[in-house]
Parts: sequence; structure tokens; C-alpha cells
Amino acid sequence: MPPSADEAVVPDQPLAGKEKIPMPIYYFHLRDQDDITDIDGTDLADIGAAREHANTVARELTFKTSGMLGEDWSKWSMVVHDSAGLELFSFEMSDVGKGNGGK
Amino acid sequence: MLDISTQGHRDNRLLAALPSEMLNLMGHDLRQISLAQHHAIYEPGAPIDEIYFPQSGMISLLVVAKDGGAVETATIGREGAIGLHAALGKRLSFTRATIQVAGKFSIIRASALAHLVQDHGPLRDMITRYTEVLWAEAQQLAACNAVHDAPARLCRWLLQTSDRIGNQTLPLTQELIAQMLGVRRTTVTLMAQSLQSQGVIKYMRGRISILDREKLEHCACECYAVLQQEKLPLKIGVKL
Repeated sequence: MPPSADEAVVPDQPLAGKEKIPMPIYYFHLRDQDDITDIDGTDLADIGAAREHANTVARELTFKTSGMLGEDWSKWSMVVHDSAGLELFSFEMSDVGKGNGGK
Repeated sequence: MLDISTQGHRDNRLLAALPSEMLNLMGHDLRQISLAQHHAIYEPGAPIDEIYFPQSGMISLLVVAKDGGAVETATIGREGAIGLHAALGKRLSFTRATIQVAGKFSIIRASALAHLVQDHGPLRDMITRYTEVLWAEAQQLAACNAVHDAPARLCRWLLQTSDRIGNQTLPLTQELIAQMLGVRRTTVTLMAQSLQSQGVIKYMRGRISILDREKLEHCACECYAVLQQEKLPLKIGVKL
């Protein structure tokens, strides 16, 4: 069987203990006047991994694009929640790539 | 009798384009099988023993990296076949090939087709022409992956996959699509939600339905139009 998509696309993700302790799920939503909801969430080791994931996703989304749903990226934020719906951190999408995303 | 036995095989465009007598000759060796998602067909470096012509499912070709990750480099549906070049002589697979969308496939042993190719020019010509089309497709995809953004590539990929399987509903998870596009699953989820909010697709766990093909084409990069299965062969002067 081929490796799972997570392993395939996130080779630097820590694998140790993956089978033993279930990892927390983080949700990466996009917000302007509307919300684009991350309905699936992603299993990640800790909040550090969640910040890294958020940055990567933001870079993939903003790469060569000016915005989403007709709104410039300056109007959008990425808001990261835990599985209880608690907001953990957020950043402006237009800050991505400037070295301060996820802070 | 033979017409009935070749009926399913004709769902594959390459087989359908062959002269009837040719297909009837192959018919003795052609088998029709159903294969489930994730079924492994080839591994890199392994001999190509059988040639697959999708009737309704889709095959994904993956280049396997040293770290074990795999990136999709091509998909093959009812417009094509994989392993055809093994009918020209013993060949090893360059990529991993797996079933991405379950369905029906016509398969034939490479040795059996090699035998027919020796005596039948039209069959050999078909293999040559199809190889030219694949080569053109690979070049377009290399350019697409380098310069086009993820949302446009997602739209191109959804349209292409829909054409390959002949269905507006794609039984594919976000994980798989993410792997195919070389982006994170979350990125696919957010792009899919954005398309859904515009009424372009309907996204549920494990499947995506195309609701508005025209809008989806508008959101896709120009590579979709270039790669369309009816158009690409004509662009390079090939008639399949």
C-alpha cells in the first residue's frame, strides 16, 4: 500500500508515537465577511505543528493568487481552532511569506 | 457473438478506435475485470506483464520519492491505456501505477499483444501515436505544476478526472486529491469549500460532484483546454 497522504506530503512531520497517542485535531478556517470552514480538520502533534501547517496551507493558497471569492487576500485571515472550537491563533493571509505568519 | 464480447472493451476509446477485425483478434486475449481503489498495478522497476485499458475507472501514475512520498504525474482513463509500450518488447515500469477510481478495465498480457503487434501495423501505429500524445501531455503537466496556482490546478484536475471516468461525481477523498496536486489536505478542503460556496461543486466526505461545469472550466488553468482528450491529439497532428 502507498503511504498515507499525510506522510507523503508532510515528510518532516514527526512520526514517533503516531500509532500510540491520538493526536489533537486542529481546524484551519478562512475568515472575511464570509467564512470558509475547514470541515475536516487535521491531526497534528501540537500547536507548533499547527502553526507550521497553517503557514504551509496559507502559502499554498496564496501562491500566485490575488484572493479568494473575489476578495483580496488582505481581507482574509486564517483562524485556527482546536476540536473544542476554541480559537488558538490567527493571522492575516496577506502577511504570509513576510516571515510573521502564524504569530 | 464477438460483438457482444467486445462491447465492454469498446468503452475504452483506444480499443474502440481500432478496426473491428483487430479488436476481434485481440478479443481472444482481452479480459474484462473490475478493480477496486488502491489496487496496485505496477511498481517502479518491475516488469510490465499486463496492459490495462480503463473502461470506467482511472489509473494514477506516481513517481515515488526516496522519503517514501509519491506524487501523481499522470492519470489514465477511458481515453488511454498503460503499459502499451511493453507490447514492443519487454519493459519495466518507470512509475508506480495504482487504481485511483474503481471500475472496469480491459486487460491483455503484454506477450499476447506483442505477438499481435508483429503482424499488425495498425496496432503498432496506435501504440506509437498514443505514446506521442502521452509525451505531449507530460510536458503540459510539467509546465502546469511549475507555474499555475493550486485553485486553478484543482479545477483542471477535477475536470480532467471527470472526463477520464465519464462521470460528474468523483469518488475521491481530499487526501487523495491533495496527494495528486502535491498540496496539503487542508488546502484542498478550503479550495473545495470555496468552490462549493459558489455553487460550482458539491463536496461531501469521499466524493465531489461537479454542479456547474462551465464555471469550473472558467476557474481552471488553460491546461484543461489544451489537454482535452479530443483536442490534444489533433494539436500534434495525431489521429488516435
